[in-house]
Amino acid sequence: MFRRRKPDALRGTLDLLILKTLTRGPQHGYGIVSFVHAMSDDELRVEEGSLYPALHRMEQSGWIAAEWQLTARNRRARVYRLTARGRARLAEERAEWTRLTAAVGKVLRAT
Amino acid sequence: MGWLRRLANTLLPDRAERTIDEETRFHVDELIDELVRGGMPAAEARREARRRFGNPRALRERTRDADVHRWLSDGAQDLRFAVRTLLKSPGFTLVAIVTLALGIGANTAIFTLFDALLLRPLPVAEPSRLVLFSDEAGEGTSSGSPPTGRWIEFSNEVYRHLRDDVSLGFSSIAAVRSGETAILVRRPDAPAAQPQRAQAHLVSGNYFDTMGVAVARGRALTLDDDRAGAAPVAVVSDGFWQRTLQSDPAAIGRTIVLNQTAFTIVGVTPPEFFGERVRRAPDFWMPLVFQPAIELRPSVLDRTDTYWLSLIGRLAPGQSRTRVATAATGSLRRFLTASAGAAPSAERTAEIRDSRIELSDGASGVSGLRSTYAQPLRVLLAVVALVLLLACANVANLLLTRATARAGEMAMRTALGAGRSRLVRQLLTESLLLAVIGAVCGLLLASWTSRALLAQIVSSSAPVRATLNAGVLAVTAAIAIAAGLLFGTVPALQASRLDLVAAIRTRHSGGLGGARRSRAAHALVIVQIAVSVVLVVGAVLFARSLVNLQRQTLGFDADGVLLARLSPRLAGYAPPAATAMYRSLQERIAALPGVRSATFARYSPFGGSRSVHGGHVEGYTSGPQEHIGLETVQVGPDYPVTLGIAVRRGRAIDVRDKEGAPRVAMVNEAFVHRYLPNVDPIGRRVGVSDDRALDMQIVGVIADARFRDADKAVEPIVFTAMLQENSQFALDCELALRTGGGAAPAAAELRAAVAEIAHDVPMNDPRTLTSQVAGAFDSQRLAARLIAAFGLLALTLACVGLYGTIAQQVAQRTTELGVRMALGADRAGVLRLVLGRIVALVALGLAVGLPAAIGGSRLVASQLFGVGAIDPMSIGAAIVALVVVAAVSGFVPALRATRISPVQALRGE
Repeated sequence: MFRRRKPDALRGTLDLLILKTLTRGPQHGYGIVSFVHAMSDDELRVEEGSLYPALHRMEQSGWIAAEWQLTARNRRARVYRLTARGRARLAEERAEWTRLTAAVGKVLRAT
Repeated sequence: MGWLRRLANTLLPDRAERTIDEETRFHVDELIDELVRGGMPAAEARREARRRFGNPRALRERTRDADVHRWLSDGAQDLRFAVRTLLKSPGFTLVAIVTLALGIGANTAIFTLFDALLLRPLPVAEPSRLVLFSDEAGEGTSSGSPPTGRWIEFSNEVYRHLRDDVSLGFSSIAAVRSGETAILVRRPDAPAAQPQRAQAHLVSGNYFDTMGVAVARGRALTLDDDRAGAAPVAVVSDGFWQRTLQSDPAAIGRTIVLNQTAFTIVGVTPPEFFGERVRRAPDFWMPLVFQPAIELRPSVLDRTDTYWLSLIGRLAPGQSRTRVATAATGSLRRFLTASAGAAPSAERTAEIRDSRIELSDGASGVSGLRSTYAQPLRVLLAVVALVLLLACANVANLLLTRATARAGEMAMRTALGAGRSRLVRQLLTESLLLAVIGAVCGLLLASWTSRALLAQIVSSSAPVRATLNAGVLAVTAAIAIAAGLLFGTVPALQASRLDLVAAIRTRHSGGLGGARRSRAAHALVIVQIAVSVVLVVGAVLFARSLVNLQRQTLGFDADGVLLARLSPRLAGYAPPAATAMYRSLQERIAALPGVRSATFARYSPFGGSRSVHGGHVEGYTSGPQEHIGLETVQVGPDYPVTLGIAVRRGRAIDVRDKEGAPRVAMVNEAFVHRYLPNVDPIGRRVGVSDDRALDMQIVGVIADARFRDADKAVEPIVFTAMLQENSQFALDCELALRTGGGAAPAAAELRAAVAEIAHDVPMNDPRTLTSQVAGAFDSQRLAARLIAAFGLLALTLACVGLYGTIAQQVAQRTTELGVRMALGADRAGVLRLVLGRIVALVALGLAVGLPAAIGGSRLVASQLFGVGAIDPMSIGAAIVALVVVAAVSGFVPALRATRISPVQALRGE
């Protein structure tokens, strides 16, 4: 799912990252990759081969919606935005993530 | 809406792929731009971008799969799996498919027949608006007193009155001559061609308008063609135009001589149009006004006492049949009252009050076949529905048995994580696949069978086709799918309700579901036996009824009698010339080597004709309301001896009874019994003419011979001497000869004799009286044969079902039986155990089936002859048949049970 770092714990986080990215406004696939890359200080790179199946699956689940738009440079891009259900989903995933990382943290801190 | 998009993606895979491709392209382009901005050369940037993106095809597939989901792939997988499993047990698959094909095929065939004969609408515009004033198959002319009760035939006068009464709610009313007329066609444009016989149909000028038929060429008849003094015009059928006029477009406007009158051809009907009657299509339609020229009889156009027209109406839009019928009845009664004079008798007033018009649905036209075959076909529809039920029960049983055998497999799959719904779906796919294959095979079977059956019922020239139309297809598909769901559901649900652990542990005992499953299997077997009982009882009843009908003494000896119809009227013969021709022809034919005796008669037994006249009998006082209607047949000399009818008293009509001699008559025994009991009938006088004259003397009494129905009492008949007849109506006759040798040489001799003595007289093909009589039993024979065939089929299916169930149970109880034998049970004991189960099942099946069979027999009692609804013989036959089936199908598994080796059975555990 991620090219450079593929810890098992990160499996399932792609949805979370996509949903989070889209809270900042509608974005196309390329934009999502760039945003995650930049915000994680180049640590995380979403692999394109995983991104699009995930986007289509999420669209189908009704978490995000897509439409064709022209970019500033006049290219047709498929732009995704968050739906109400997607927002609810994000809250769930975020809570889950927090719980998981906290739990993992506890284990690691244990002496 | 996810499923909608999924569906769209599935149905329009290109669209989905285009979306993904375009989206990908955008991403790659952006990536390249970024890399170039970072200082990478363009070519390298493109390579790098592609490398990062990976295989575009794989991406596309994965992305689309997210869309199409597992939805379709699961379906395909189910189907592949179903095909594989079915192929793995070819015996089961074959039996199931054949069973279903027979069930569905029988249903489709009978429904096709039903549709072709009873439901198919006429090929006209808005057939649903057509109404018939009579849907009876019978046709003809009646004269004398006006009809009472429901009016079937109308006089021209009454027709005009109704046609012109615009308040009734008809768009128009057309009249057609009740019955067709044979005519002789001569073509002035082809003088070398032989005159040929054709069928003409006299219709009112508005006939084509009312029917809603546009002619294919030329023009239709109009009201102007139907006025006195109009030029003779005719519309020809497409068949005649093609056959005789060689599809010549220039034939329109040409003159053709029909009988002795020159008619101009003005139009050709469309190929699919055959008139309002489902039977042999007429060749010509011409206006009513030409009735005298076409029928070569005095005009009945203005006779107020001759009822010769059948009426067809087209309802105005929005009108209902019942409302219009009420209005028409009122109009008819007003007309009758007005024409009854100032002071009608109380009797006449009552008759008028009783006169009424009923309208029948005319969408499918008039069909004699309909009245003949409607009841047998309804019975057959019920029978084939039962057969389908049986087939479904059988396949359900097979699947159930299989489900038991596959309990282990199902349990294993559940344990490996297959969802219950997935298993049910898998099993349903299997049954639906079976149903679809069965339906396709059934359809093929049906298209062949229904054509073969129809060929038995109607001649090839009749406008009835057994095409599997959309409706039939829909019905079959519905039956197949319903059957698939029906017999797929129970085993599927049961199989999925397995107790996993138990099922895996004890594979062949089928787990805890075993008891429930064998209860279901028992119920199915009982249903099968019960249905078989009903069908076998029905088959025996109909077969016995047919035998009774055929054994019924007809009163004449049909063997060796040859018939041929002559039409001297068409050749322009007047009565004296015709009788002279008949006389010399009879002498000539009787002297032929292959002929023992010959005669002629107005019509022959079972020929479909009937002529009834108002009669009077000397010495018989009729009741106050009684009109004596006497069937009258004009016959030539040697009539009883030729037809093999015994002369009981006096003498037969012979050559002495000719023009100028005292008028004589023979009567049948039914006549004597009815009108002259306890007196000597010889010498009494009778009359059958309208003028109430007792102008004939009875010279002989002959035995009762049946002229139409084999199952009704013989009516009184008066036979008059043809040679003393000078009526226009008696010109056309049937020659009858008793042959010494075969029919074929006699027919050849007959043709030669006719060609010699009356070369200008049209004669139709000679036929045997035997075949004519056999034709009268066609519908009963067909019904009896089919029901017997279905009964046999039912027995076979029940046999398969019983065998499957018992065999399965023996297999299931191998361990138990082994233990019993190990504990000392002997073979006879085991045999009793297994056979006891069979006997119980059969007894229960009979207990359910026999009352149902008796109930069913009551429903069809009216179609049976000489057999009661509770017929010990057919019930006994059904019981014997079922017991034999049970013995045959139960014996093998029972025997197998006794051969179980206790050691092996226990080791299997």
